[in-house]
Amino acid sequence: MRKLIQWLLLLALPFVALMGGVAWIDPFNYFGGEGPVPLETRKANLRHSGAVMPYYTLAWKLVEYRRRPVADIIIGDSRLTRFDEALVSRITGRELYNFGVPGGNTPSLFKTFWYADSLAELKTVYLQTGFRNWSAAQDYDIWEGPQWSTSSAIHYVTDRDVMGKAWLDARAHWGAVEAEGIAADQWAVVMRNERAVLEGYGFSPRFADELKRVSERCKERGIKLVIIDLPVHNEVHAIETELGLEPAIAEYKALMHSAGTYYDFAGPSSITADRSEYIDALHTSKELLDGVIRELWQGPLVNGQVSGEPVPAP
Amino acid sequence: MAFFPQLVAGPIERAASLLPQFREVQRFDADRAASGLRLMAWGMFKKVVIADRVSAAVTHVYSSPHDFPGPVLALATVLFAVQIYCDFSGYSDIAIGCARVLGFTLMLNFRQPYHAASISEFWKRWHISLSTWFRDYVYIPLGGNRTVKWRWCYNLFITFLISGLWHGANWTFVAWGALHGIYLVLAIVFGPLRDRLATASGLVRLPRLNHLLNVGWTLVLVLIGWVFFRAATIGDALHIVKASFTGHGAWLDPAAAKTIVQSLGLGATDLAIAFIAILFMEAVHLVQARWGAAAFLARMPSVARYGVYTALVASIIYYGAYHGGGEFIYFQF
Repeated sequence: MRKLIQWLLLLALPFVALMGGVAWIDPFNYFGGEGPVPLETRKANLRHSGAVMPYYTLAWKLVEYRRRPVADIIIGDSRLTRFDEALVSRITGRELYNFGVPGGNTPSLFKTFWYADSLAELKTVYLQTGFRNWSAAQDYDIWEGPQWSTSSAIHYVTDRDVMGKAWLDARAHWGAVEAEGIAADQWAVVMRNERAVLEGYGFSPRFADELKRVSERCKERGIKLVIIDLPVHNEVHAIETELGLEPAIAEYKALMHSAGTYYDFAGPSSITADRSEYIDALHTSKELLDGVIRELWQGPLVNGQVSGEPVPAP
Repeated sequence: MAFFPQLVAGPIERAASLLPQFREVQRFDADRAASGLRLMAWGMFKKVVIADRVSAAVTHVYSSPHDFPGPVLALATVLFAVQIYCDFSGYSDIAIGCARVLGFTLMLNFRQPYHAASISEFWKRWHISLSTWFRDYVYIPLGGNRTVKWRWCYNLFITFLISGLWHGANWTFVAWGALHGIYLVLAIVFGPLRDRLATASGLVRLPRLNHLLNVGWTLVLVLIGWVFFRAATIGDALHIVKASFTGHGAWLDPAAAKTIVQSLGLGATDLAIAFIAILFMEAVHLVQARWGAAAFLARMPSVARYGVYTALVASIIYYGAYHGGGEFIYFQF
């Protein structure tokens, strides 16, 4: 008996050490302690590479939001990376939580909504989205992994991806790591990807049904639902026109209008033509995004092709 | 009922074997407990590293089979064969291992079923506790094989039809049972012809090749059966079987082959993990068949054995597919 227990303890030893190491470094700030790696380093590593960004960012935000839920949230994709929620707070005097996640898609939009709804009495929900995100082919999952690993302490300390992030944080703190920057051919890569996405576009009735459920929930709970389509460069619109997607876009916009207050900055306008305002065809510069924020939250709207009423400062 | 290890999904133990064990005083035996824990770990590996990982791909394809070309459907069916084996044999190993830790011996339920060289051999290796139960309580009372040939075939067919129905009130399960019944009846009817063909073609002089061909052929028949077992409707199953034999020229084009694999909906990491884990499992099967896993491990130096156990536990903790499902398939039956 004693021999067996000794064997089991010996077997458990490396795993206990690994779990202890993960808890000590606390890569997604789950335990909220000081830890050996500064918070800034752990936060900076969320954007280490394109491959890890969706998982790391979502895991961090799930933990952060659960610790301190906020009534106003904006949910979306990588286009919210440069979104300055502090600017919105300065304008409105209300805190806004940015749930923007690189690789975020329509399923993650909904799942994040239900997650936030389960934790807070929501007042205003901004859904940042875009026509391309509503294609049935965009039904991939970025949610389950981060959600699972941050749902309990034992999941957290035994998850492979959390362990990978802990290792990255340790290397960044005690050694050096080089983050993957924006590729020189980023614009071309995004355009190739957008063409593939738009060529394979097929409207998803499932997404439409889920949006209806979200919209009904907001009405039931008195939550203001605002849908924002951020600017997209005209080169993407050219592909949409080439592929004859105008009817599908009209159908999509009608769906957005039916769900909540809809602000459309995406359609061709004076702010979708200038390449210098964009990092790539989908991602705007911070300056342009700040302009959109001012128009939306401060008004009057001067540039965007905006439909519906301006959002009054709450 | 309180004997929890095999309560939910077997092995289906006979009273004559189990009840006397309840009457015995069970004393803790460290070696037996270690052996039970080893078996539980192996079962967990099959369940969480392989079965739960490939289940996402199987569900993805089988939920809308008309959206996928033949090679994707065929690949998903192969993955389902892996999933159901790893899921159910994994559970059986956990149950047997758990009982062993407590001092009880449960019967072996799986013995490398996909290595079978005929359908009748497959049923001597797959869910052994259920197939022997059906043999003893349905097939033999019907008259078994000690009767005229047509009645023997009838008894076999009826036994498998009932076995299909036992899995659920769905026509797909009935079709699966009936299909296996037909396989066995055809094996009886055409057995002599098959033997003559093997002799005439010279295959009998190449026993290894002959065996390999028989294993391959049996596997194809079992896979066709699994299509009916997994599909939502008979219509879906017929479509999958028909389409699965088409479009395999695409494997010759690397770009098309990549698209086929990507269509499974599994990420590159998950695919790589599943592939390596399946290879490892097959290697373990070979070791089990040749030397016996326990004897093989006992011959290893302690440090190497410690390495094997550590790697096994590490793979369960860090490479298990823990989100997105994980129910045992056979819990529904």
